[in-house]
Amino acid sequence: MRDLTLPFSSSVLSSLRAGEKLLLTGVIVAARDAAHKLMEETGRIPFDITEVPVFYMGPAPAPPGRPCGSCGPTTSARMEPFIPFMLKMGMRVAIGKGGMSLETRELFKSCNAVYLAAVGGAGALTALAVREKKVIAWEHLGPEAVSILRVEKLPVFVAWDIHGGDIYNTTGETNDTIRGID
Amino acid sequence: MCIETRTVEGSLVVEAIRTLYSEACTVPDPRVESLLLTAFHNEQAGPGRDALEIELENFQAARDTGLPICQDTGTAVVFIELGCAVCVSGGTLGDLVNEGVRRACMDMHLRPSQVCSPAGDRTNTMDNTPAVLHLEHVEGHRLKISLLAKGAGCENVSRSEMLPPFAGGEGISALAEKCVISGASRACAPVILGIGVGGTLEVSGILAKKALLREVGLSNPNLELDALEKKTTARLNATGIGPQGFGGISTVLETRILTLPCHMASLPVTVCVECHVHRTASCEI
Repeated sequence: MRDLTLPFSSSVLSSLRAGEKLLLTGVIVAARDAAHKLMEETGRIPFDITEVPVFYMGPAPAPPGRPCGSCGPTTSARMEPFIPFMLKMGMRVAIGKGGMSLETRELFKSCNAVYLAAVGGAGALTALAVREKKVIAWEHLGPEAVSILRVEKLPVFVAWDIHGGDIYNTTGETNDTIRGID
Repeated sequence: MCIETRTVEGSLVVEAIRTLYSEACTVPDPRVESLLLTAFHNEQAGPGRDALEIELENFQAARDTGLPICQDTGTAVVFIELGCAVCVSGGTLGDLVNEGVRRACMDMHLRPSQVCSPAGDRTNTMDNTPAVLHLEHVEGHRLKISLLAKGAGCENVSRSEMLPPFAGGEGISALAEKCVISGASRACAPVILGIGVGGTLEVSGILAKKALLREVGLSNPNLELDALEKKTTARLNATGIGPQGFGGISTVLETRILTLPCHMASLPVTVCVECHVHRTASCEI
């Protein structure tokens, strides 16, 4: 287990290995389905995508006295149609849950980008790692608005590293089955 | 024969739904937690076991903070058994259930996840209504409410299929395997499988949901189905997918099967995949 500060330097990025557990401290951005659709449609990315990891997440409302409500990852595979655009715009780190297609994995690798998996379902625990949260775009989307989060020791696993390592390799999931195509 | 009718105030139904939905989302189920703990002890060292450890820490975090155990507080799926001698005043059951869900969402900071115009602009209703209501008319004076807070990550990897009539246990188990292999990593494994067999296309789906309401640790009273449940669980735990898809032997915690008669030409089967936080609650009024 490694404690790492964001953003990753290129040497840290290349040292990551699939299966490793990390505790992340720094700034990340939360964006999910509706925000991805708007980013691609408008060509506007309301944060520095080259520096800030994109966390596929839509939080529950924050109760009084807390910066953020329950906030675990959502399914990354639903963002796949937008990933080529996000990588082209400079995304280097995505955080989500679950496997994606082999094409997307190759795309990450060719862009020297890593895919990190947070633990799906662990919303209450993840909320404890959030120190500050602020909506920065498309507030009308409610839980799907884009937020910036300052996190301390956010637990994640390296799912895909830049060397082709894949935490999901042992699952027997194929390119087709992972997308739910028979 | 004349049975005396019992009248139940609609406000009691609203309050029951508000309480059940709040508790399901914010009070972790110790029976599910003990299944996860057993899985943790059985798992070999590696990222799969590390993921189980985090899942268990999350149960503790929810208990300590009162935060929803998962941010996806789901669609509220409500089953009501309404006795034929019970009369509910104050509105339709659908309206009363929605009012209870609305209040839980507002009071307990649950996430509004329901959108209207699903094939259109998908605008969030902002109070997590409408709920889904399945109503069963039963004998007597009973009014039983069961609620499942159903997240979408696991719902999205569920499947309904019309199998060949003689596909049998093997066909059912193979469909479950297809769901789990293609989707367990996205469904927050280890998962629980609710399998509905028989009826018609839509009835198999409702049976699968209802199967998920069976109490943790209870066996199927039908010995043949009990054997099929255990065989399916073992088959899927041999895939190596593991917790969160990180590798391991804990992919499925339990399989539950419910059946109904069906047409001689059909075998409708739905496999409903449920995540490891498995949020249910029930009461009688």
